[in-house]
Order: sequence, then structure tokens, then C-alpha cells
Amino acid sequence: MHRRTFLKAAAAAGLAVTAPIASSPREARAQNLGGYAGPYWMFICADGGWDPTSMMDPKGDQNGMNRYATSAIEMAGNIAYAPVEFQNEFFQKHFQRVCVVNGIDMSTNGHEQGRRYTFSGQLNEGHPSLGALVAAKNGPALPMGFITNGGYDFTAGLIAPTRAENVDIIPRLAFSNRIRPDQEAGFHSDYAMDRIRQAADERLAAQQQRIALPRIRNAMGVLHTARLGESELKDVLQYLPTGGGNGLQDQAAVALAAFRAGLGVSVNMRIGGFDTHGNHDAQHIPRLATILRAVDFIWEQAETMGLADKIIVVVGSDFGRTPGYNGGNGKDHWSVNSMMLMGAGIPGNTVIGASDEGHRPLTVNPQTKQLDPNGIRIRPEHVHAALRKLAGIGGDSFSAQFPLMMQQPMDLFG
Amino acid sequence: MIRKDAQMQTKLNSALAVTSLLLALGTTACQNGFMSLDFNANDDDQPGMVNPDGTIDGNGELTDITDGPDGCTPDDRFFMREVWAPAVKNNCFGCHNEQGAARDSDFLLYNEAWGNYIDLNIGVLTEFAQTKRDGESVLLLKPLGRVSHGGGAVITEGDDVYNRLKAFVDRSENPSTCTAANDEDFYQDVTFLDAQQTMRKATLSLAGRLPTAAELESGNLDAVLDTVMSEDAFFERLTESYNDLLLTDMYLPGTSAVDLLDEDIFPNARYFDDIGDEGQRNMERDAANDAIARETIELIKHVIRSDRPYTEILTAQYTMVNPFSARSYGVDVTFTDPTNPAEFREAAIPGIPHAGVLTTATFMNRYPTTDTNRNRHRSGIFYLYFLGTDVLKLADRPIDPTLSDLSQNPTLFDAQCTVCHDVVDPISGAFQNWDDQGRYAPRESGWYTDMLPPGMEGRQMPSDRWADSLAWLAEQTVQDNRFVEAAVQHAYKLLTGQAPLSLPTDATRADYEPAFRAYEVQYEFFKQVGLKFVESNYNFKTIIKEIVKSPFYRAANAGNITPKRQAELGEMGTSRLLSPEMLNRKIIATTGTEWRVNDRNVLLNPNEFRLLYGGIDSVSITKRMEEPNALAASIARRMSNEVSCFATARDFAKPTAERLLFPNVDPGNTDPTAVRANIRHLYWQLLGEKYEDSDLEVERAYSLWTDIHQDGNNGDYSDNLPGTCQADGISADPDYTIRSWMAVVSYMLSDYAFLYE
Repeated sequence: MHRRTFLKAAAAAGLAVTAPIASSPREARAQNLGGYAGPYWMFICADGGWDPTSMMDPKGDQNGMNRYATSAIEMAGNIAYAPVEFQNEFFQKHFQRVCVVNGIDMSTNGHEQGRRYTFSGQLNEGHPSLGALVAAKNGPALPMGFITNGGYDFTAGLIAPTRAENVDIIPRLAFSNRIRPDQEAGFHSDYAMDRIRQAADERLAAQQQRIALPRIRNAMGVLHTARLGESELKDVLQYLPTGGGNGLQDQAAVALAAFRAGLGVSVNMRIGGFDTHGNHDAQHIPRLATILRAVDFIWEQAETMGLADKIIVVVGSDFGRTPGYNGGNGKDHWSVNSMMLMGAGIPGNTVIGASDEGHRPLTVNPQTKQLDPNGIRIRPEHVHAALRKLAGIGGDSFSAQFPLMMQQPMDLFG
Repeated sequence: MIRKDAQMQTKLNSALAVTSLLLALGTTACQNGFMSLDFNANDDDQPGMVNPDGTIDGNGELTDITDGPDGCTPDDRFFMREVWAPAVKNNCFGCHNEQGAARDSDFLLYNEAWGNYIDLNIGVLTEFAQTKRDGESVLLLKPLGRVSHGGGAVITEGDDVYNRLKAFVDRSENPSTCTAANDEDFYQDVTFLDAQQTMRKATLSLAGRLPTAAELESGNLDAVLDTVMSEDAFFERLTESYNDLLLTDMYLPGTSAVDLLDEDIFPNARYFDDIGDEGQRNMERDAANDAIARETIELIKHVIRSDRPYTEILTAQYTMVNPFSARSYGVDVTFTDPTNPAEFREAAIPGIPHAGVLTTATFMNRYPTTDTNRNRHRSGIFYLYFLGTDVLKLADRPIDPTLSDLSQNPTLFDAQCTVCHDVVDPISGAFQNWDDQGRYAPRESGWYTDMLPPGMEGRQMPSDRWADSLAWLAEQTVQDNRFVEAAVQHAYKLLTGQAPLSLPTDATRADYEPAFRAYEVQYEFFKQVGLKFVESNYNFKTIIKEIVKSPFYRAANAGNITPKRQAELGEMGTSRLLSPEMLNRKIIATTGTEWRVNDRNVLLNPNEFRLLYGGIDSVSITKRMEEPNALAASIARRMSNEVSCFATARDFAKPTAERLLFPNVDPGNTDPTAVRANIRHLYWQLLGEKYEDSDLEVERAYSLWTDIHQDGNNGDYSDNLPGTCQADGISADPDYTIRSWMAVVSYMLSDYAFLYE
């Protein structure tokens, strides 16, 4: 049974065709069932608590904050960055897209709480990640609407998340009748496979006539509609790059392919290993470079795929790390953080907020966003209010279920 | 706060009285309630049912099981249906709640987030109903405005709300003798799995196996369940189910669990590091770590396996160790086989006042605290898991920070905060002796004085119990009917994958009435199961048996029902997408083959399909997928193709009597009678469906077989099976019968009835 036939039959039979409704963009748009043309949201979580002073809020060796010289801090446009691995290449190349928010007051040193605060905008439990929220708003029925590879990915039941970080798995699923996805030989002949599907469709139709309990009928419908997306995985496949990257680049590659195929809205990407209580610089700085290389990869790929004007990248972490080094040459938890935002609708070459020489948060004027001793501290909810507004979910009833509860509002991009 | 505590105590006393009454009446209720549906056993065309003695007698019709006088309605149902929903919820609750305009009154009602809100509210209303002024009930005088009422006169004598409250007042003076609702009409047009299908479903679900021929022949479901619930596979299923709740498997990797033990307290924790032989060292390291990681769940399994009262999961004054974790803890325990990692024994850890699962290192660390959190997270988890109460939903309206007076301690004095903190904070105090690393380390400065003292819902913990405060909390909890409800609801989720229904609160919804009917029937069902559970001295297996035998577990279809009936029956019938673990067991049980590629079980391996198919890692992915997405559907499709390839030739290679899939045919056999007979066998073996030879389902599968067989003999294909599908000497398929059977098996393995239970 073809999708349209099935949907008509389902509707006629009172069958609830609920998420996930898989759909090719063309068909789905035709039926107003989904299909998505952007914007696409990519969230990168530096899991464990990163060190902004080793990246976009650099302090240098003054006061023993970092190992590199304060005088070596570099600038790309308005953006200062640490003179460490890959940062010069990255910021000089991309600063026109980058918005840095520094001096964010996290009010917590707890990993779980910090991740939740950074990626949902709320310290309290129960709020969905922004990735889940924008996907639920824009593509709740898409087969890969919200892809998550970890980090804070609570959905509050708004959308079924999809895990997809392993590029190698997609071909095996897209060609489920091939013994090896790169070879034509199948378990069944093409004829047999078609007959199996035909028999299954006939059986489903018969079951719809026979089964009256709504729960069972609905579950059958959900399975069938999910199956309608099987063949569309090949659409994802054609946009997957060849050759392996690092783990984050794999995660990005799958997500970008899903976006290009019109099957996804947002992705949570994750890289761990930032909780460097010992031997900080040697372990931490290469991981920061890994993130920057992945973001660079995203923009390179997005340009190639024609998606660059529709991508938004949000990079954050649990919290920051203590000023200076502990006895083990490490850095502990510190509740002052930074975030890096890039892409469509984000003001580039911009730094909002700051911290002092001891990485303590400075206050800003909520109207001008300039540093102001009588101003307010920037908190994650301010960043999220701006991102929600950008996503078009700032003031509707949908996001009102999960209010940001700002004590002191501020329009960060206004 | 003293006034509020006293007020809460009053409310709780009333509620407990109602609960006690229900428990005391339990025997009669269970014997006569719909749980013991009895059926005539003489109509083979009707679905089979379970008799009170646990036997299944074939089939039949409902008998009259009226449990009280005609028209009799139990008090709790009367309250729910006639008083709470249509009168009190909409007319009183808006003000008379912890955040409402009447929050300082003595008449405070509970919202649905409370696990026992019905009992609690019956208690509150009963107290007021029985309070009289000049012979008239205050419950009527107040809303009539005849005595002081902040809201003035809100009803008039003779109106609908008045009549409902009046009826409640009358009931409070003459409680009903009816203890169980008669809900048989609710199932009048529902058909059920027959005896063998119920047995098949239960054995697959609970033990990952099919019932034996002897078990099917016996028809005695109770006996089969007793057998199943003594098998290791059942306890494996319990491990999965309780980890879905507790998520303590996050400590399985490496030495994550051992690392939770403070080496100043347990200097032997990493004893295995000193073992010279690398293989032995690694084995003992893994065995010790896994035992500590699974300690919480092993304790629960031990209680259930031993038929101990389930209350012991909280009150046990011991934990569970295997020979290796015993060494890590430094406790002297005698084992039958000191080399067996699977042998667990009770052990009291010196210096720890045990309180069952609460005092394990994994529980404490999985639900950590901080100096500012002060155990509130642990308290919330405790409420959710063991008292069926979601404290995050206690507040009915969002907090407005501009209304808070931050000059005073808001968690003690701001009504926006106290609505939850009055409930949460005393139990936070009960966790007072356990620090942020899960160590037993009573605070030198004592518990915080700027929050409510340790206790539970108005009961303050005696100071002589502060040292073993969690043991005190456990003792209080296991006497609470919500603990029973939480156990029943966990078992229901285990068996059906479904969450309990919620009370519909929006009376303007078109489906309100049928949704309410469905809720009250399920509420009654859970209550009756709970009563049986208590009656059996809290034997958890009782709950499993009662649910398996129930209409909820066995509902399979319904007649030609109206939209209203569809709404009423919305949650009847189970349709759980099998977890990767359950699907793996089902594949093995039904086909005799594991889905294994490159020496890896692809359904269980987290780097393959386990997480993509909806499994959890207990760390960042903690909720199982309930509905398949396109990737999961593709995994199921690949499974059906690949497993049919692996299983078909392999099964044919076995002696006929040992075959699971093809007892009626050999390769090359194209006799229609034999092929159709084997198709009928496959329907039962793989899908649990029984068909006559003339059924259209048989015809469809036969047509599939013959079409593919015919196409296979048109000369376009090799005479050999694909290499990966060859097995045990069977490599050739010159007449294409094996590949035709592969297609039929694939067709069934990808079917809804295989992927769901």
C-alpha cells in the first residue's frame, strides 16, 4: 500500500496515524504532513564543563589563570581567543559568523544541573532541551526530527528522539535486504521482497478490518507509518560524505544528511572528557580543538550542501572551570560559563557580556548589552529567550508550557 | 508551621482510616471482585478465561458476579464519580488548596499528583461532613454561607452541587458495605486471548521462552506462572525492569561502582588490584564492580525470589553481596561457591544502618545531593518510586518570582514554595546522614534548622531515630497504601509497558465521560490487586499473577463498538513495542537462532542497534522508546531478513522432531497440504495466532510461498542459498523451497504481532 493510499485508508477507518510519520519532503509537503526546509539547529555539548578561558574568554598567565601569555591573546574582529591549538585557524576563518556570550552566571557547579541549564535555559528539572523544543515545534512527525547523541536531550514527551551517530549503520538500514550494503546481493530476491511487503500490506488492511481495540489499531498504524520512512533513509544516504572524521564530525555528517533530505530539524551532538580536574591543558585544549574542527566541518559541509544560510550552531557546556590550576595541574568546577552561537539570525563578530580578570561575571545593561556595574548578570535563560525568539517559539502557547522564568528580562540580540 | 503540621496530620489520619478500612475489607472484595472472573467452560468458539483457582477452562461467558446489593457502589467510586469530579474539584478545589485563596483554612484538598489523592480527599471531606453545627454538617453550611466562609455562599440548597455534597454527608454517616465495584459490563464486548495464548504471552514476556507442550496441555496458568517466576530468565527480566526505574546500571562499566566506595571506609575496595594474574584480576574486578552496581536490584530480586514481603526492599537491614563485592566491602560472608559471581548473600555492612535499597552506594550516588540541594532530589525520587507521588506536580500553578518575599526563607514561608517543600523537605531530612558521595556521614552540626525537621507528612521523626533515619522512613512508608499502589503500578508497567491512566480533569473534553469510566475501572482494578498483594503478605508474585490473569493483559479485540466505547477501551489490550532485550529473547525462543553478526549480538550491543532500537544506557538515555521511528522500523526489517536467512536452513538441518519452525515439511516438499500445515504452525510459533486451514491468513501466506516458489523456478536464480544463509550442510536449494520458506518467515518476523506484545 502506498503512503497516500494508506493514509486515506487509515483516515477512513478512523486509524490514528500518529508520530512518527515518515515522509519524503515532496510527498509530505504535498500532504501537509511534514517535510522540512530549515532552519536547522545543531547543539554541541562539551560534556564535563569546559574552560572558556582557554578559548573565547581568554585571560592568559596573568594571575596564573592560564599557561599561555596574556600578551599572546589574539583577536579575530571583535573576538578574542586563546593562542592554542586550532583556534587561530578557526576564529580567523569564521569570526564573522561567531557570537560569543561571556560571563554567564550558571548558579550551579553540578554537571547534570549545568547541562540542563545551558541547553534548556532552566535550572529546574522538567524542561525540554531547546533541540527537542524546536524539533517538536517544526517537525514532530519527521522520521529524524530530533537526532540526539547525548548531552541534555530531555524531550518532555514532545517528540520521539532518534539516535544516529554512527555513519556506518545507516547504509545497513537503508538497504535492509542487502547482505552487505555495498553489494547488490540480497537475502531475498527483489521479487520476494516486494511480495513480502505486499503480503504485509494486505495483512495490515485485513487487521484494520478485524481489530477494534484502538490501542492495538493505533500501534499498528504507527509501525506502518514508520515503515513508510524506510526507503527514505536512502535519501539520507546520498548526502552522507565518504571517509571518516572524528566522532563529532560523524555526528554532524549524519545530521546534515538528514537535514538535506528534509527529514530532520535539530541535532544534539556530544563530546566528553572536559572534566579535567588533573592535567588540564594537555587533556582539555585538544578537545576544544576537536569541537572547533567539527564546527568548521559543519560549515564546510553546509556550504557544499547548500544549507549554510539555514544552519544555527549552539556550542555550550555544563559550566566553566576554576580560575588557575589546582595541585594536580587541573581545574575544578566554576559556575561562570560562556556560549558560542553561530549561523542564521545570529549577530556575527559579536561579544556579549564579559568576566573580570579572575573569571567572575560582570553585569551588563539589559537595554544596551554594554558592561554596566548597575546592570544584570547574563544567565542561560537570556540566551535561550533570544534563541527561542529566533526559532519563532518565543511567545506562543507551545513554548509557554515551558516558561523561561526570567527575573530580569533582556533581549540579547535586540 | 505547627498549625500546618497538625492540619496535615489530621488529614492523613483521616485518609489512613479510609485506607485501613479498605484493607480490612480486602478479602471479601478480592473473592468477589471482577478479578476472579468466572466463565462457563463449554463453548469452544469463545475466548478462554481464568478460573479462581488459576486454571483456564477453555472458554465461556461472563457470569453474574454482583458483589453487593443491586446498584451498590463502593464509597471511593461514589466519591470519585459523584462528588470529586462534578462538584468538589470545580467548586472547592480552586481555593481550598495549598496555593489557593483558602490556603490558610483547615479545609485543604489534594490534587491528583498525590498517589492517594482519592483516599486523602475522602478523609478531608469526611471530617467536615461529620462536623455538625446545630445538627447540620459543616460541609453543607460553609458553601451555603450559613456559617463563616471566605468565599461566601457558593451553592444554594437543592442545586446540583448541594445535592452531591448532601449525598456525601449521608454516606459518611452510613458508609456502604460494598467493597468492590462490579465492572463486568465494562468488558461486555471485549474478547480475550485464550488459555494457550495467555500462557504464551506470559512465558515469553516474563521468561523469554515459549510454554512447553505439557504446560499448554495442563491449562493451569497459576502453576505455569509459579514455574516461570522461579526461573533465572524471570529474574533477568526483573533486572531490566527495575533498572528502567532505578538506572543503577550506569555503574556497570569499568570500576564505576567500586569507585563509589570511599577507600578510607572500605580500604579493601580495590583488593583485586593486587592480584598478579591479569586474567584473574580482571575477572574479579568485573565481578566485584557488577555486584556493587547491581546491589540495589539484587536486593529486590532476593526479596521476590524468597517470597519475602515486598516491604523488605525498604526495610531490609542488610544488603546483597557476591563473593567479590564481599571482599571489597570487607565483610565475612559464607558462600556455597566462593568463585561464583552469581551467588549473592545477605550481608550487613558494619557502620551502616541499612534501609533496604535506600542505603546502597548506587542509589545514593545515582540520585546525588549538594550542599544547596540538601537531599531534595533524593526526596523527590523517593516519593516518585516508592509512594507513587510526583512532587514536581504538587504545585498547580507556575511560580511567580515577583510575588516572593525573599527577605524571609521562602521554602518555609512562601506559599508558592511551601506547597512542595512542606512535603519534600521532611523526607530530605530523613536522608540527613548520607553525604554527597553517598557515604554514611552524619553531619556534625546536625540537620539544617532553616527547613522543616526530618519526618514524613506531618509525622516528625523521633530524635532517637535520627541515627537510623532512613530505617524510620522505610517503616513509615511500607505502612502507606501508596507503597502498595507504587508496587502494583510498577508490575503493570513491567507486564504491559503502559503507564497507569490519569484521572481526566477537563470535563469539557468530548471524551471526558468515557475517559473517566476507563479511569475508574482501572483504579478499581489496581485497588483490588493491591488488596490481594497485601493479603498475600506483600508477595510481589501475587501482583504479577493477578495482572496476567486480568482483562487488561488479555484483551485482544472487541466487537463492532461505537466511538464512545472506543474511547472507553482506549487503553485496553497491550501493544508494547518489544525492547531490544525482549525482542532478542523472543527471536531465540521462537526461531532457535540469535541475531548475531560478526560475532556480536546486534540487538544487545550498544554500538550496533541496542540504543537505536529504543534501548537505554542508564546514563544519558534513560527512557525506552515506545513508538518506532523510521530507523527502528528499518532495524526490524533487517532483523526479519537476516534472521530468516540464519534460521531457515539451520532449522531444516535438524531432525524433524527437534525443529522449531518446520516440523511439517522438508526441503523440496511442495505438497500443498504439508505447506499449509507448516504455515499454520508458523503462525502459532512466531505470532501466537491460531488459524483453521481455510482462513484467509493461511491463504495469504500460502500465496506468498507459492508465488516466490514459482518465481524462483523461472531460471533466474542460483541453485545455491546465499552463503550467509547456508547452515550445517545445507547449501543448495535447487527447487527454491528453502528460500520460499525464508520469505514466509521474514514476512512473519517483520509483522506487528512479532515486534509487539
